[in-house]
Amino acid sequence: MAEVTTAVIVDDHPAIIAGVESWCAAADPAVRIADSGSTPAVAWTGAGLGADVVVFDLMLSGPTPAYGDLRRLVDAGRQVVVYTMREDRDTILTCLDIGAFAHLAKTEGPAHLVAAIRAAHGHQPYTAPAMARAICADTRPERPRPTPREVDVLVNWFACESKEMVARKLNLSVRTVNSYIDRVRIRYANAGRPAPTKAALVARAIQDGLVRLEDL
Amino acid sequence: MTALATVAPSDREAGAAGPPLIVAAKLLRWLRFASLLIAMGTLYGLALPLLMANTAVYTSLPRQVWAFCLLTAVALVAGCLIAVDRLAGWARWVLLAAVAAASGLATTGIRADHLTAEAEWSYGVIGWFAMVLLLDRGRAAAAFLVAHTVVSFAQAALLGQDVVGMVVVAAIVLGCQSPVLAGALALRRIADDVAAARRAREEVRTAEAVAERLHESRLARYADLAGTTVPLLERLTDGSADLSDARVRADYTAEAAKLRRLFAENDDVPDPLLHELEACVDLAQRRGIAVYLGTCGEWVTPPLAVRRALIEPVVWAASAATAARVTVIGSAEGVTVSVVADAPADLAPQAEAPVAVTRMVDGTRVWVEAAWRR
Repeated sequence: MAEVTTAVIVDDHPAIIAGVESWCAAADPAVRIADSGSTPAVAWTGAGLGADVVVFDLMLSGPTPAYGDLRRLVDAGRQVVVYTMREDRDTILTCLDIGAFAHLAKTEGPAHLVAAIRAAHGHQPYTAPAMARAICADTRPERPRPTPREVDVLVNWFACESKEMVARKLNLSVRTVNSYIDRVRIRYANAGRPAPTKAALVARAIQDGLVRLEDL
Repeated sequence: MTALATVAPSDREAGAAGPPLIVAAKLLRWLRFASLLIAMGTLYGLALPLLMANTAVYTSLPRQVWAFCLLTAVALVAGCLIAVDRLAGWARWVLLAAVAAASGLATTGIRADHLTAEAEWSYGVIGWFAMVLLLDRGRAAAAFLVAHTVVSFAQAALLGQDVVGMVVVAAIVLGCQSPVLAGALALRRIADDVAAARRAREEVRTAEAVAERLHESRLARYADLAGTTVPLLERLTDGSADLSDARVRADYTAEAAKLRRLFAENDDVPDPLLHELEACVDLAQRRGIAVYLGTCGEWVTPPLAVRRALIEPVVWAASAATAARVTVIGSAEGVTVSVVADAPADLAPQAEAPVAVTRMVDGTRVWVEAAWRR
């Protein structure tokens, strides 16, 4: 991608902001941090308003997740990568349902955050291992139903965090592994609460031939 | 509540087979047969002659005959129910209602001036039938006897009869009935005491058995350690262990992880597999290895031998160079422990039935999976 991806970081922990900034600076091509701050206001004003991607800490002030702030950002069409301590199934599924582009646990930051920010800018699905786990453990009655093969891929992706090894273990190509994971993610984007970001993800996936309309 | 019902559930909880319960139930049954015999004896030995001798004074002989037949029927049905231990629940109350009805028939089918005389045959009989039906419920039986006495007195008094004569009869009748009732109550108390004592004894026995098992498993664990840990410790004390060798250090790390797992095996926790696994993960983290531990799904706790085999990959990962990813994936069919670590591939654990182990090397990372199917 030729154009530079810009991001705004909403996190109440200065060390996290510093860490994310350094990962983004070290990435090639670099991700530019437009602004950062401890409240969602930073994403709504100044340089932060124009950032391509919002890196959003769900646990800002107090013990309850900031689902309301996340929903407002999503409804304004912002691409949000939730980056939080929480990695339980219900939190992840709620964020996906609201329309977050991706949910990353803080333990997954080093390996996945920059890649997720880039994917968010390109409207291409990104499913980190904790997301795969949450999808496998989803028991809600109205959930999208992955096929047994897709569940197999997701579980192994969660277990080893390496698509190359998943591919070798299941005798698939890495490309097929990716397409299995992405298809499930798109089905989740197509389910539940409607949101512009989810629609954009689905539209882009259809454009890219990742899924067909009749698969949804 | 019946003596049977009060003792039975707690007895089951204690895991006792319940001989005291059976003894109590048997005694109660014989006591019931005995009171039934008395009831029948008074009915046919005392009441029947009175009934036949006084046919002239009844305003309604059919009512008397009906009452008599009704009591006979109650006695027969109660006898059958006692024999099969089913005299409880609604059957008991139906029979009690029949007894009350018989009493009503008998006392309304007689001239008022004979109500306190010997022609009123039912007064001394009704109480015995109530005893047969309510022997296991002391309070209800006593309440019925009192109620019957009060109603009889009230009826006589309302109809203008002299009740002084009745007092003597009532004293004799209740005087015969109350010892039987007291006996039943005492029997029930003794049965409860015996059951409590038996439970206490069972608890002591269980505690002893648990202690014995713990001791045995402790001995077994020390035997396990003697083979592997002791030689390592010996080499450490005599200075022959070369701690600059990474392999030697890995041996010590793995052994330390096994010790941690053994200690954890003794803990009483809801999920032993995860608990024992965390003990090994904790050790790896203390060594400065970045360990991710995640679980997916639910699993039933596998037996100890299986858990040990499942945790082997985590013991192995304790000697990783920098990082390990440990995941536990459960399903209805079984549980899989998966470890990705930059630890020596050739030291990775081998399959150990019934746990299947797979290995995959990807550069410095090795993916080891131990899977168990129920």
